[in-house]
Amino acid sequence: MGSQPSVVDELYRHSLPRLGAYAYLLTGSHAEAEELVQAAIVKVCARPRRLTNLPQTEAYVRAAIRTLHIDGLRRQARWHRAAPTLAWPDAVAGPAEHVTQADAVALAMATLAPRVRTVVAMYYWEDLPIADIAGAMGISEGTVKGYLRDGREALAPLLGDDDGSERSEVTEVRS
Amino acid sequence: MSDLRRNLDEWALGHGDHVAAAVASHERATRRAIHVKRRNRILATGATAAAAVVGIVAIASALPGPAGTTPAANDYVTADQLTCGQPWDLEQGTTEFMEGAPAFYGGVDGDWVATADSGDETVRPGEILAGHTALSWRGTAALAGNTVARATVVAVKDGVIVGAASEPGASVFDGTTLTAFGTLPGTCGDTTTPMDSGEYTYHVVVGIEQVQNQERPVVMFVDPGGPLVVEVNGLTESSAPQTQPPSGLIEPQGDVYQAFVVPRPTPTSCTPYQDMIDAGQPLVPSHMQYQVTIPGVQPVTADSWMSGPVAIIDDPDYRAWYTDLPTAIVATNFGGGNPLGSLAWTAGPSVSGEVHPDQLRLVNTDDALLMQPQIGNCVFTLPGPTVSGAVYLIIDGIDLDGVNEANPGVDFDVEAMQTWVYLGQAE
Repeated sequence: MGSQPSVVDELYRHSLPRLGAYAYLLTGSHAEAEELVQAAIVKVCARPRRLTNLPQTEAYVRAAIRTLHIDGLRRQARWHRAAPTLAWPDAVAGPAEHVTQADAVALAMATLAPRVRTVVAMYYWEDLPIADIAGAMGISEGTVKGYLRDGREALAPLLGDDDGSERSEVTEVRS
Repeated sequence: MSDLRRNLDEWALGHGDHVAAAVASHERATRRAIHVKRRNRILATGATAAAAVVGIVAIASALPGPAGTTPAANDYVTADQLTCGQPWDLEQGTTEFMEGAPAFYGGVDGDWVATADSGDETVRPGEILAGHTALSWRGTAALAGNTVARATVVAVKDGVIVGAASEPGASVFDGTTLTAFGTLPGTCGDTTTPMDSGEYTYHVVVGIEQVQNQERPVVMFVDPGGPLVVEVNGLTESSAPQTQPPSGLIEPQGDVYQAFVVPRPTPTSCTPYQDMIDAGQPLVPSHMQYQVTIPGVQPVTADSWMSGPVAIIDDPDYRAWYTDLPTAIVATNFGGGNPLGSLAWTAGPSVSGEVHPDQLRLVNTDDALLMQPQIGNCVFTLPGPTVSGAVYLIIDGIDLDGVNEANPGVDFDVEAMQTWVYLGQAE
């Protein structure tokens, strides 16, 4: 436990904006992102593992954010199956908040289904290969590509696209 | 880097600053949570060591350590062998059963989570309330090769297993995330024995097998992350034997069931049908009654709300007036979870993925038609641990010929009514 406090200190000092950005991309909600980051920090730092440096610790927390978020999506999906009359439909975007017309990107992100938003975040922010995203989410690579296509179509007009070069990367190189 | 990627990064970082500020403002509370979790983990591991070792307890054995790094000398056990009445004598840690086993897994880790009726979740809870808190072990299992992971949770008292789940849905593996639901003490497969409230220890056993040869285990983890010592309250009350069925109900005669013509509910809460039962439905003297014939109805258990079939007909082409109507099941007493189980007659898959093409089954399935409009964000816990009292199958429609035959000359609004079929008392 000797070096852990200083690593946690460093984490709080240097990594929170990046971790917060990733969590926000995944959830589309400041409040949910905040909870997600906090839960991930607790999850990682409470484990009896040796945390020796900041990049390693940040990677652990980022992975925990991803795992906790996907776990949450699955629980929602299981609820949807087990209690279909009560779960909110997939077509409704996640609880993206503080979305205004002035924030067109937030608006576009809010229109993405939670799973699409998750795939976009894992691919574009975390730079994960499609195979890894498929494995983490328990879906096929084809489904991941489909989600990426949906996400790109929604976001490209606002954020700019590389006019298809990334599409070929998705289908030919990274898969 | 593409424009999209770069611009998304810039946009997200702007929001990241906002999130970071909020997270930083709670730094002290987060550090306290880390401290509490680490302390609980040490206490839990110490409790296991104390129970397992009589006499001298080595201090080192009480220190926390992930099961993935601690070898253990256990025989391989399957979920079928982890049954009530069996002694709990497994050692915490990891046992490999074949050469080269490490090539098939990268580790298993997880923790205990209690989910309340409100949806609030507590990691490593100190107490749970029977019927209102669902306990599960949630973990991650990094696998390699063509392998599958299964987890089984048992409740232990005085070194003996007193609670074990046997239904297929007790363990869910989604590729990386592994969830196993715990049952209440006294719940052993389909049977329930009243037990006293008090302290129980929950253990989890995770087995990894090769898909091609599930007889050949690869590795078994016992209590990765530690067991859970938890106070279970409300237990005796929850599993107490039920009183006699209320008067007015007629027990089924073969495949013939008593049925009531009941107005559709006007939902004012997340549990409109339970509200109706609480208000005395369907035992209202003015309600018309008739008889409904449903073959193949199975004994009702909590599983009927999830993956278990409510009825099985050995004819996939069987059709009756009710087989295409929205259908659901409710019980007088339902502890935890969504009390309204939506069902459909199908030869296709249930939510658990089971397919029986030679049968028509009434099961919970993704194709189940909706019986209940959404009222806000209703959240229920999984699974429904206890079911008792009268059980009704609600069919969102009526058999007009049957009603007219049993109630000649009675005028009523057909479109506003549905049928409640009394299936009997929950077992």
